[in-house]
Amino acid sequence: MAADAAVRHQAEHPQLWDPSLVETTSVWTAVVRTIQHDLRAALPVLHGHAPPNDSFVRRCAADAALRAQLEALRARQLHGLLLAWTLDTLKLQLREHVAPFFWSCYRLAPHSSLFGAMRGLHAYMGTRLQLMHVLERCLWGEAEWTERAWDEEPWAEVLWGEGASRHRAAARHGSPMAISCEPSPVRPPSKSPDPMERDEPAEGEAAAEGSYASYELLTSLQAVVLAFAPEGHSFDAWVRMSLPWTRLPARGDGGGGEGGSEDEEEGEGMDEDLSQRESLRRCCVHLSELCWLPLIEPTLSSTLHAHLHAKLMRRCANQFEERMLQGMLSWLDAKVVTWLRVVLQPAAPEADPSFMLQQWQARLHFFLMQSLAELRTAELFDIIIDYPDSLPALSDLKECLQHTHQHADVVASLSKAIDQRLLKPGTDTSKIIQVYVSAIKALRHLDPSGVTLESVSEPVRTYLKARPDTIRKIVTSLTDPDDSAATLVELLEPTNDTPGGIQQDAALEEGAVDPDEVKGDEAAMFAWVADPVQADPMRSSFARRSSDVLSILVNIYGSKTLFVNEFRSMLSDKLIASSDYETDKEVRNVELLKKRFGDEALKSCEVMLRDIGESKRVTQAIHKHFGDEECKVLTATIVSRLCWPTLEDEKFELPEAMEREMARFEKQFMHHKAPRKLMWKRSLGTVTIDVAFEDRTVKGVTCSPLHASILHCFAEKSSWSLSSLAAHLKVKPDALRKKMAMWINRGFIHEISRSAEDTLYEAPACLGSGGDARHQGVEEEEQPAESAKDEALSQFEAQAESYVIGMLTNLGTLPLARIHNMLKMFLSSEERYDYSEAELRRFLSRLVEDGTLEHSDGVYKIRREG
Amino acid sequence: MKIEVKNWHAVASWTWTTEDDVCGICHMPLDGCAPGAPGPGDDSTVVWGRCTHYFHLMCINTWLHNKNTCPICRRKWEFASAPKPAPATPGVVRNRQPADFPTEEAAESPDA
Repeated sequence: MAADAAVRHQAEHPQLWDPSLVETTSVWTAVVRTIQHDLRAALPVLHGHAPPNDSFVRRCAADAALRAQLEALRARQLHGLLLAWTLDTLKLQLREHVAPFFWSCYRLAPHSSLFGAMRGLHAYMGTRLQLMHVLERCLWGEAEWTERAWDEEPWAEVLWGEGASRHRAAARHGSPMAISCEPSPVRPPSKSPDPMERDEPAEGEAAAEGSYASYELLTSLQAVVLAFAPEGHSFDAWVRMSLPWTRLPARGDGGGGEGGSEDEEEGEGMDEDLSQRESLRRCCVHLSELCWLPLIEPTLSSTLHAHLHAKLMRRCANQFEERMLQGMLSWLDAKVVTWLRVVLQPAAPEADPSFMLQQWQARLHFFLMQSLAELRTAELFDIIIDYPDSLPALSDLKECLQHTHQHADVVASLSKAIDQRLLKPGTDTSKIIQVYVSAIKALRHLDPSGVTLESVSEPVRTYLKARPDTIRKIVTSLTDPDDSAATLVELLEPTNDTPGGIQQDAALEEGAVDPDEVKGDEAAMFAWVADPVQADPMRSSFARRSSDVLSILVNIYGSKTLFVNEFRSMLSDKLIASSDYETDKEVRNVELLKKRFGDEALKSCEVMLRDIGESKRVTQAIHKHFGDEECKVLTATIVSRLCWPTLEDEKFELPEAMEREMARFEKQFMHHKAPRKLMWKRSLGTVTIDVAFEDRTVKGVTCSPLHASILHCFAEKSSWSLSSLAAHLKVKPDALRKKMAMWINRGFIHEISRSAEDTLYEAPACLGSGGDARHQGVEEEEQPAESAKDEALSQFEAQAESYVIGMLTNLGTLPLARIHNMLKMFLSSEERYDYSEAELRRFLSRLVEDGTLEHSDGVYKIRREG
Repeated sequence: MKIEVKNWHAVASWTWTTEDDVCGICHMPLDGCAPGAPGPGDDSTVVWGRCTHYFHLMCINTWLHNKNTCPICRRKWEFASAPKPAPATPGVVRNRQPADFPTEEAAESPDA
């Protein structure tokens, strides 16, 4: 076309055409025609045909005239123009033929024909690059007219020869490693780019120009191919198809891990037969020589990640009892990295890993650890529940976190799980405590600095504090190994590393002295590590690191006093309820607790246990003194009242015989233990009776003294009304009705009639068949301990009330917070003022309702009449 | 219906037969522990003086190191035996053995 235009121009303006121009034009035309022919002839190479015999390069080598023409063009400074023209024409060809061809192959069947398409593309580009190379060389006057076998040699060698590394250095300036899918500048193929070499200074830009055309060509190929890419395409299918050991379920989801894909992915990478591997390798050679690797890297990366993730889910999810990390990492190295070597370093897969490959490997390792850490973090709650069986999983997580530093995620996720799964009203307190203890141990293992534990445990502690039965549950599980729920008994066993136990902790909290230094433990001093930045600077690192599980539990309430008090009241309940003077287990528990809480705190518990022993001796002595059978019926527990929790005492009428027996016992006690006297707690204790009916006898029924008295009344007179029985026993009818329930449930007493005024009861002569069977499990009435507690509480409230009235009388008006603080000050020591402000507000509003106080403008004052 | 009581395990608390609750010296409850005593009761015995005042044994002993008077009435301190009621008559009993009584006392004193 250009030639035609020239001919026409010559015809129109002959005066402008001197002979040299005419000659030049004809030479130009000839050369251009030859090149055009070559361009057309090269197209079939795409489809796998052999390169044409009369290629431009070959003709150059053979045809001296053509060489002369080229020389002539060079002499007239037209070589740049020719090169530019060739490049433009080539680009046009790429756009019109090559890219559509590639994508049609790709779309048809990515896997099977893609290798073919790549081969064709590679061969075609080979001839084109050769063309450009020769053209360039000869136009720069350094042509070598020998044909080289492009298919066999790495292009870099041919294109850039010795200067390959220089070109690489030059090219690098303009082309950072391409990761995105954007048409990216080509990174010229690298032969052995170890990091050291990269640091070489670039040696002159001039040398780089020599390959400018080839470089440009490769770039435009990429640009064109990508420009024609179907919507959203980025070689995924190809990458996925060529991953030997996966037929991945779907992109990126990876969850669940089933997906119908193979479960036995082990060894598949190896089983992949060599020919396939070789074809992959060849394809990757083509890719790398076309400089397309950066194009597939993003896909490669996301696909590998999805695969790793799916694999991780299959292998590791819910598997806590085995270390997984090392196994997964070596699997990664053995399978994935080996495959990557073929893909990314196709020229020499067995050689030392290139820098890029090393980066890939490091990236994959990190990704694996990150995924495992995420997985384990999400599972952490279950891991804690399974502790200590899940120790391997924890160790994995710990190791991962050392690389990935996702501690904040761990805290957030675990806090959320605890909040959603543990701190629910329906959860048993002992279960919460158990999980908390496991969490303490597990997080200690995970993060010895204790910071994670600290941040996670705060909500648990607050929640536990709000539960009424927390202390009791802790004490139960501490002292009662039979309790199936949580056994914390081992916590009581002395630990070597905390010699002073809880007593020391408080002192350590205050003084900021390094305990290691105090002890002179030089090894420990040298092993010091700084706290993580998230650590709360208010607390000493030592306290965070060393305080043991029990003291953490005890410190939920801020002091051991509450704890010991609860233990005391439980001990009291247990001792009062038993009638056999057996205290071995309790003695052991007290001894264990003494080790942790100190002798002083448990002094009264010791006294209680001594009382039991003493009671046994006294009872025996008194029995011996009387020496008859009747007295043996009565045994007694005689307590030192000031060392025991407040024991309830309800007055009621005992059976006369028992009254006599007790009086006799009392009198002898006064003699025996003079000058002391006894005060019976009539409602406490245990009575064992045999109940005889006409048809059968129920033996060994145990009940409270009041129950026994009730039954005794019915033994004397078989029918009673509630009011007359209440009057006889001197108890309140309502309380009596509750007590009757037990005997009615057992069938020992029948309710004959009930009216608004009274209820009539009768003892049956015969128990009947259904009688005693019903008693199991339905004997629950109100807990005696509760009423004692209520009593103590109301006593306390009365005291608090007098304090409040006193302070309001003296000070006029006071806001809630002041009252709260003052009560805390005055009442805290012995009365255990443990109200929260909200509780105090409730208490005060009761007083307001009673008319004692007035509440307005947020302050309280005494109500004055008138 | 007939019932037969096999065992009646009762609960009681003891207290000194004193009028005041607290020791005049340490102002601690007499039924509790004297200062420094390991426990109440036998470990914190209460003693009477002839002046009918009573204190923890440990407390009055400490006092008597300095002065031989009663800390309350300033009279000369002399230990009096504590009021001791008579033993219960072993009741309506069939097989009462009078010989039991003295040996009983001997047997009981060690644990006092």
